[in-house]
Amino acid sequence: MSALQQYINLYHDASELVCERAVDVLNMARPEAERQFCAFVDSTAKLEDYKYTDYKTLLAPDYGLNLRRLSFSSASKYKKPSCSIAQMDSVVVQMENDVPYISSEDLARLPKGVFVGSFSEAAIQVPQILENYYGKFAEKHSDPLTSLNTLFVQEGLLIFVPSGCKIDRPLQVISTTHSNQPLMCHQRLLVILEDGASLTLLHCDETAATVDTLTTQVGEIVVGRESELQMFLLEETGVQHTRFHQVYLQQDKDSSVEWFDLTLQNGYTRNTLRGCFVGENASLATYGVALASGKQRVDNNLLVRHEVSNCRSTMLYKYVLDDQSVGAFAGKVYVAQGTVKNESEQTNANLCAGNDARAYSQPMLEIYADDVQCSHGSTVGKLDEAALFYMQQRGIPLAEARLMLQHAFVGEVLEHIPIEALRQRLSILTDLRLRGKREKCQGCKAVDACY
Amino acid sequence: MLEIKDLHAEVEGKEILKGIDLTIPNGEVHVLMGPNGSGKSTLSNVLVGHPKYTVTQGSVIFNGINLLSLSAADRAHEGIFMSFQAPTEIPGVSMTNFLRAAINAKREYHKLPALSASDFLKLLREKRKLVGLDAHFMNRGVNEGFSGGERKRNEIFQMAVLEPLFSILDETDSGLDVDALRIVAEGFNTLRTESTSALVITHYQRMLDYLRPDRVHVLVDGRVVQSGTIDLGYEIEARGFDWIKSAVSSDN
Repeated sequence: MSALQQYINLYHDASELVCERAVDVLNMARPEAERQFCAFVDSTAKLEDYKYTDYKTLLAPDYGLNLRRLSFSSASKYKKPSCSIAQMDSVVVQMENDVPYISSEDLARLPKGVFVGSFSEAAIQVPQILENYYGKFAEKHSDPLTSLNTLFVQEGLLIFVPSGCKIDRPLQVISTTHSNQPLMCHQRLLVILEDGASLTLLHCDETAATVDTLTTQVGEIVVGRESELQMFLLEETGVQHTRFHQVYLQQDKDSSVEWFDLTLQNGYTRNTLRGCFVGENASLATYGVALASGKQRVDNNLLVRHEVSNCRSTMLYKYVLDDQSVGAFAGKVYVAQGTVKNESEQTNANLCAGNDARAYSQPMLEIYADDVQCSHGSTVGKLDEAALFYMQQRGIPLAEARLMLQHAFVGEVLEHIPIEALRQRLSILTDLRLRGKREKCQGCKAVDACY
Repeated sequence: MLEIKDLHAEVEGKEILKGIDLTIPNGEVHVLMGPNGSGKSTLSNVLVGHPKYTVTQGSVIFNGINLLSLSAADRAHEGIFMSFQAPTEIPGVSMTNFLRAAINAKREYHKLPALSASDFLKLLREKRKLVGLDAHFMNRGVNEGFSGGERKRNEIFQMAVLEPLFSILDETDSGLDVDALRIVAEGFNTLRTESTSALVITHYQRMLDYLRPDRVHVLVDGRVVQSGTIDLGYEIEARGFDWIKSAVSSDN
């Protein structure tokens, strides 16, 4: 039996169980997801999008799925999170596996009309929003992991910000994988910003499990006219964690999105971002940092489609790869025929700090218009020997000099983080990670104790 | 005191230093002159432990310590400093962080507690004045976007902050205009004490005028072929190196 066939068989055996514990909107999307997933099961063709990630092998192990929705966590639902960044005063949503919790106190701090909660609650309180948006963006794309997610997902988090509403404090989602046995978990995120809305979202992925775990995460994000989204994704899981993260982002006229994706601790990570401009004068700035050592792997795969004129997109992704780690970057910008004045820049830089580390870089442009300004470039290199010696001559030991240069290398990305407190915190986390002081997330209070 | 005895060194299999003997007592400034390719920079790099150079013979004793057995960083901790001929840019590492790391590594080596943030900033403020380096340079990357003159001033500023016992100035005067040279030389002179010493590599009389060295040595083909007072330096400025080279070849 092929690696993927086991999931079709499981779905056939357990579809009633899957569906009876999920809201109707999710169940209605499953037949199409099954059809799409079956196409991948039967196909022997290699997918260009998964050139650097052998997803079939990663899906081969016999993970358990928590279809009966048992609780793995002994903690109370609303325990105070260990992640709290001073000066940020964020509203916290805790995700235990696929289930979001938000305290009534935090809910009360959100502006009127904003909905933050589970799909189950959304189906009761704002059913129309869930129906209008769920699956409308992800399913247009043919992607095996998205189809698998849609096939089995039973719960999710909806964030809805109504027209003209600007949330003045960050929303922090702390997503933790809990399990005492090998587990596959499917998570779903739906973020809707109506026209003129704004949101800052910090999404932290961590794991409390000490067994092999795999999560698929599918996010659909709609950013309306003149809306602003700042998104910070921080992964601090562990070496036994495999994570497939897919986001489908649609931006309307005059909207702007700043996107930061930091992989500090992981096992195997595949981040997919599919951005699309459907209204003019929109901008998308994406930034990424990946720090990998041991046998960790990070694969960032981005596609931004300029379907209309006068839009701007940038990609700046930097990797520090040590030991036998592997980093991959594939970034593509598509500019549609008939559009004008689109601009894009792509930069991917890799620092192979270990002799056995490998970096794959594939910046791409697919342009069907004449009046464009698009550039792309990538580098793979080692630490600057002259700088290393200069630092040692001043008394900085070699190991410290290496760390400082690595930190400086990714600092070029971190300096774009517009929130001072967050920039400082992520800079500290990066430093601790490079020093090997964090095997996985120990909460932000542990960071405060170090500094 | 720095004592170099019969020092031989090679780079990529080619012997450059062919038996250097040189003693520099504490409190003295010595100038090293020589034609291009004679081994001046090689000697500097060997003394500070550049990994590209291999010592094949000889010894270097600094205040009783076998310098060649130490790592480059530990040599710095023992008080060896080099003002680089072409200081490297280190984008993303601010001058402040760079110097804080350097000072605290040295203090840790000598089993001293790290300098407090306020003491450290006070130290930077004081030393900056010495070479007229603006405060905004401290937040920039090391040598990032610095002009040639600013880089050289920055080298002397770092020397002032790190307070070495023995300094090597490798053509610190090259590329400096008259005013910048005066500032750098005066800064250097301010740092001279009874317990510090220096080896200055230069091609120019102006540097001799400012520094008034105790001794001048001439390096030809990897050996010190002549030593003398400051007058030897002036003679070289006037007559060039050919007469010394001829004298060396006729001796051989």
